[in-house]
Amino acid sequence: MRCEKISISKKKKEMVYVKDLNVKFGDKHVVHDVNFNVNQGEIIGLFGISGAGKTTIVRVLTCQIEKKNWTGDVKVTGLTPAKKYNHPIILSRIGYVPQLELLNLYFDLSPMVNVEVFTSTYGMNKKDAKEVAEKLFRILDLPEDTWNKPVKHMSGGEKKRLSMAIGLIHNPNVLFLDEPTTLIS
Amino acid sequence: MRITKKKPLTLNLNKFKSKVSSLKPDTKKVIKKVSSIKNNIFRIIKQVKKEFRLLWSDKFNIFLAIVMPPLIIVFLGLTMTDAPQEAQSIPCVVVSYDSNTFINPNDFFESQLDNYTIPYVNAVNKSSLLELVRFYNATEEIYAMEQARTALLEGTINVIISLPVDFTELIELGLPGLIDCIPDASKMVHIQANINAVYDSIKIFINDTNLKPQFVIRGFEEFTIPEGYSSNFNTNIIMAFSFMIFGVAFVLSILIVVQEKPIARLLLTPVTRSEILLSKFIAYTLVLLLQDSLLIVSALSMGLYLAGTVTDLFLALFMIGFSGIAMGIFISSQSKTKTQANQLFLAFYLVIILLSGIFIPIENMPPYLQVIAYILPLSHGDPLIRGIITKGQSIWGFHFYWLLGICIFLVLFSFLIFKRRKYEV
Amino acid sequence: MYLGGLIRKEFGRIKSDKRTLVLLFIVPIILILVFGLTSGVGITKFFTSAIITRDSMPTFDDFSANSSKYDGTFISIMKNETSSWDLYRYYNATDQVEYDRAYQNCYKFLQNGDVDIIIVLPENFSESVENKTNPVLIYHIDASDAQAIAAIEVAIQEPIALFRAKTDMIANFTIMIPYLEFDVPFWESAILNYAIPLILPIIILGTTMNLTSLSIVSEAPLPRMLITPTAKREIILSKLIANSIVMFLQSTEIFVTIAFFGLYSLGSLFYFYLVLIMIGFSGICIGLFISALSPTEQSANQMYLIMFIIIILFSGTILPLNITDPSVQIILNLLPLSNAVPMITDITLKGLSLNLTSLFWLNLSSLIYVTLAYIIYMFKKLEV
Repeated sequence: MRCEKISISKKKKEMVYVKDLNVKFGDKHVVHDVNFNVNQGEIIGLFGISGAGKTTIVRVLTCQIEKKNWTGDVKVTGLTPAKKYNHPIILSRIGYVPQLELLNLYFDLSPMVNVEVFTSTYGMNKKDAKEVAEKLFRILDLPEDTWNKPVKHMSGGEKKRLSMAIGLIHNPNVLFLDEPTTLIS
Repeated sequence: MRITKKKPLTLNLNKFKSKVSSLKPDTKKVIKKVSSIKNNIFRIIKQVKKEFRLLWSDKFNIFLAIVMPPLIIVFLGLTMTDAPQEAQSIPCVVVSYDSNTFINPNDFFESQLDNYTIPYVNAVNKSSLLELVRFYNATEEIYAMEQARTALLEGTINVIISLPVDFTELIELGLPGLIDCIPDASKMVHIQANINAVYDSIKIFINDTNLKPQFVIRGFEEFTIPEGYSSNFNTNIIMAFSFMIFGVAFVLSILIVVQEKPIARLLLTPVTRSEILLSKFIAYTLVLLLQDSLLIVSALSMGLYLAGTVTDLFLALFMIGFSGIAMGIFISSQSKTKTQANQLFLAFYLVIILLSGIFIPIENMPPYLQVIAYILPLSHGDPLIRGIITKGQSIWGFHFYWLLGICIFLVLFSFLIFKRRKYEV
Repeated sequence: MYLGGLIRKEFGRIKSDKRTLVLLFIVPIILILVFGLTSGVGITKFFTSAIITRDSMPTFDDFSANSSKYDGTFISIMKNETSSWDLYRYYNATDQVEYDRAYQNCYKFLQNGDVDIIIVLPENFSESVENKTNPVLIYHIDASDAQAIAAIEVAIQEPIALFRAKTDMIANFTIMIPYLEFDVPFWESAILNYAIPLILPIIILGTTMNLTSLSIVSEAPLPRMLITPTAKREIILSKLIANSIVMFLQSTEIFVTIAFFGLYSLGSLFYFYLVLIMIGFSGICIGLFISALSPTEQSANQMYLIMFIIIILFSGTILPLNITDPSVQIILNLLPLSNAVPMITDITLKGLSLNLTSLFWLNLSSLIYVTLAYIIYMFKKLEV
């Protein structure tokens, strides 16, 4: 697996810090000694064959994997996911766009309602969320006639873009994207 | 041929970033402290709203859950009327051996007395509970009993009444007169009615023949259903109530955790597992309140006589329904797939209804089964509702507290299991 | 015809779902085992009574002397000698105040369900017995218990008969001796054999309906399958055939287990087995109908439960229904239990052969459900 860094900004505030990360599930050693850091404004890509451990690393950073399964020094927006009390704060600062829309969107609800569901968890009020959502939908080229119809009627690419909008809507400090180019034209 | 070097595809990230950052509201204002109680309540309310939206997206399901149970009550009310007396007469035959020769075993005295045969047959005719299909004098018709048994087998009669050879002789001698009664016992529910009908004919016989002394039995019914109400409907609706409210609440909640795939994504936000589960409990409890109300309204409109208060009945039904919700969410929290949840639902539901006492009284079960039966909700729900409807009992009793205990146990364990459940996106 | 492949696919799906197989094959066995092991346990005490005797109160009006000799005899009989009565408490009231207090206590017992009946022996009880005039027995019964009301007049004859025998009041006494015909012999499991006609169909129906109620709605690749030469009727037919074979195995297993545990059957075991299969087939057809009609799994579950409740409540086996309207009777005949339970009872307890009318209705209802499933599925919009 390799990481590629594209530096855009000269600001150096460290957003993600990973040192000597090892992840084990029982006897299975999934991630071996991973080290990297991401500063504010930077974009990094994790490339690797399937089974290399890319999603596992992201899961550690997004507080999905219990501390007992990993070792190393990890910080996201300055806080370690090793401590459970940091999780709500970390989660409020990050955005996540998973690979599968099935796990990410309420297919029976419309995009606007999906936005409302997820933004409410950050304490955003409905009006603000709707405003930001509409602008994001336009940027991401989501047709207006799909905004109030159930997500199940959207095409695969539209669902992906909606996932991205939901990942971005609360203005996260760090955005994690899992296979973001799938289905995107 | 001209080869042109293509520029590598680059995302103009600066432009994209500037567009997105121009949208951002002031982070400090918008995203409040995640751990404040006010924010918790706000999130729970929004999650409850989400639950209602998900419920509403499946309108057929909502229709079945909310509209069908009251409709069933209405249909029960229409079909469970008190039938007129004539329709309840039980067809019978009387086979009399009384005219045969009786040999007294004490003195070997022979007699063929049959003075009391015809009075008894007249008594059977007079009885409104019996319909005499045929009278056989077995002295003249030697195959009388065989014919009677054939009729019983075919179902044309429900009971054979047989007067033995010493019927009249015993009464004349001052000994108890015996009448043999042979009811069709293949249908357990009808055995008592058959025996009661024969006893009615005996009462008439004793009255008509002035046989003394006799016990005079005066009965007073307590907790009766007043005139104008169908006793049939009122006694049987109780079983239907507990059956339905528990089942509908149970099935409504069986998939709500396991089928909600985006929970994994939702957990990557500040919302906590407790808030998610609590919102489900709240949403489905509110639906239960509606179901409860509709059930009570439909039952009262079909002529339910309520000795107790409507509040107590409402609370009792609510408790039974909530135990269904708690059980459904408990199963849903620990099931890995929808299929597993469905299977557990069926297994639990079959066991609960079979051990509820509806088909086999709990007192008739072996002790180990009784223990299991008394743990289950319906075994307490039925007597709780019965006490309130028929006797005006207060809800605050053992059955209510036991149901409450079951609910608390299931709710706590649901939270515990859900907290430990692995979710990964 | 691609039916063979579809049937194989169905078997593959059923086989891969091991928990459903457990439910289908193990749960009925456990339930039968549990009920089968209740042999010998029957109703011991049917009535629990509280007695208030006013016999000690003076009553000189109709009799030359006051007596309270016989109330103790009656109470002793109720306490120790009857087979279907249990005495919870008795009170000896020597004046009205004591009587009122005793009655209030007994009323509370009645209300709480501690007793089913309050028996009051009046002031002239012993006097009437001594003078051979008609003694009076007063009872107050819990009218919310329909079974109790139906049984009381006959049940009280037992203690009366014993009392009359003890007090030499047997003259002019007429009693009925019931001999139950077509009942379960005492050496067989009464509970199991009386419960079989109702519980077995419920178990079979419940499990077979569950087997098929999600078979269409939860099979996600079905719409994709329709973009092949496969026709919708072949899909329905393959599900019907595959699930029927599984149901056939289940019915065989249940039949063998029941027989092992002491199925008492006067009639042909083959007919009994046939009825089990027909009930199972009915469940399969109802399940397919549910699955074809329901848009989601959740609504299929809900519909399964509603149908199950309707089948049980309106079969006439548990709740007494008075239906005079023939059209309503026809609808109720379409519920499997309405015909299955009487058929099993007739075969096992009466030794009769298959009732053709019930047979007709049971199979007709199955045919109607599967036809409806087919029609609904034909018109269902499915998109990939």
